Amino acid sequence: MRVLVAIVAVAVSLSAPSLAQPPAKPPAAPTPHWPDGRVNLGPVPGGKGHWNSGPGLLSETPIKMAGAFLADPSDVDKAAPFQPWAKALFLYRQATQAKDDPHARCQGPAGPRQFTTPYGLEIVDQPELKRLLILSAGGGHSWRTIHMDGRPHPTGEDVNPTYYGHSVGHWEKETLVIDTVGFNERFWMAGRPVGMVHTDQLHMIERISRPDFNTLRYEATIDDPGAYTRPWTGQAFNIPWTTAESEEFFCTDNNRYGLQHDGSIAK
Amino acid sequence: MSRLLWPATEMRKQMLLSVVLALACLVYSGPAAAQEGHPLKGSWMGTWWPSQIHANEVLVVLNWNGKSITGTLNPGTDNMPIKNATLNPVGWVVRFEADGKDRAGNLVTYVVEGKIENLGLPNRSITGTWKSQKENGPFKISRQ
Repeated sequence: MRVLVAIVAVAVSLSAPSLAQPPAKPPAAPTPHWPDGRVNLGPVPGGKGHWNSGPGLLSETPIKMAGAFLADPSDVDKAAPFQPWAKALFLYRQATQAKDDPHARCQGPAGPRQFTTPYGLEIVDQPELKRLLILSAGGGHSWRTIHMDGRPHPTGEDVNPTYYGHSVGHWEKETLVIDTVGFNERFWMAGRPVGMVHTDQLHMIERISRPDFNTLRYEATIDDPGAYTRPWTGQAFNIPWTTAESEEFFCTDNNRYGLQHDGSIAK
Repeated sequence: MSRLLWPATEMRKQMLLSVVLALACLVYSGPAAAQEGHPLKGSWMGTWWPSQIHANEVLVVLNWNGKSITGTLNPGTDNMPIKNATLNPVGWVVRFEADGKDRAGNLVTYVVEGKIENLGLPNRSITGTWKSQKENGPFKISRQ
């Protein structure tokens, strides 16, 4: 039983390719569109499938990795333009094998981490409600709303910091652009490299496209003057489509103990 | 007997059980939600002593705006704004100052220096020393 718990916890805490099911490689096909011309970021009507996450890396420049960790910690400045305290905290999290990772304790997989969390995600378009939903199958089985109705972000006292923040989106030709503010500080925003730091000043801009039927292209720009010296953009990465339906997974059912990245259990 | 009318002893047992369960829920409310941003941000409580001027207990509220550490020492009572606050990530050494007054109304400048312990935990602590023009002693606060 303990081994089973450990295996499930590893799947949750590491940003590795999904262990949920063997990916069914779908045939090549062009980008699907809705009748009004917008890109369809989900299955075609009558079809099924979901985005299977993957080992996406949140790093400004290419960097040699060992799983979720920098292969060489001296490469830290290649990852992001950290402020000194943020760099030291990131390196501490890496050096301690991410033993304090809130994600391993079922906190929300927010920020770019939503796109690399095992068990994948679905993007549900609701044009009649002028919104998109991004459903995370893994982690806490949670979802995020992208408002597409042109509303502004809340300001001042109306900001209620949350894991996923407040997201508004629009289309730039074939690319969905999501602008998000209002994050809380209770999560680590990347699974790879694990331990990337942010503050509640984080302003994130994501650019999501579907260059072909089986590929979701993801890129995030991090503008957080609380933790970084300047805005920076992580290298874009691809997320594969699988024709399998996403399955139900609740971190809270299976991950009663936080599993550290070295395999030991932190209670 | 009707199920709606419990004997007095049974009712007392049920009430006692309810009270115990309610207290247990209050005592164990699960792990505190972590604050994972700047390590100093938050409310901290602890002690600084011995002193003829201030009480042993201390409350510190700290914030980070991206460029500087701000905050208040004993907000609402002594209400001393924190100044010249620094965090050196090498060793996680914290230092800040605050101006207060003694009972005669004379200026007292406090200097606190300590080190963050248990950095990764939400209830991390700062352990070190405090000193003023006339007094000094140990300083320890934990994040709430």
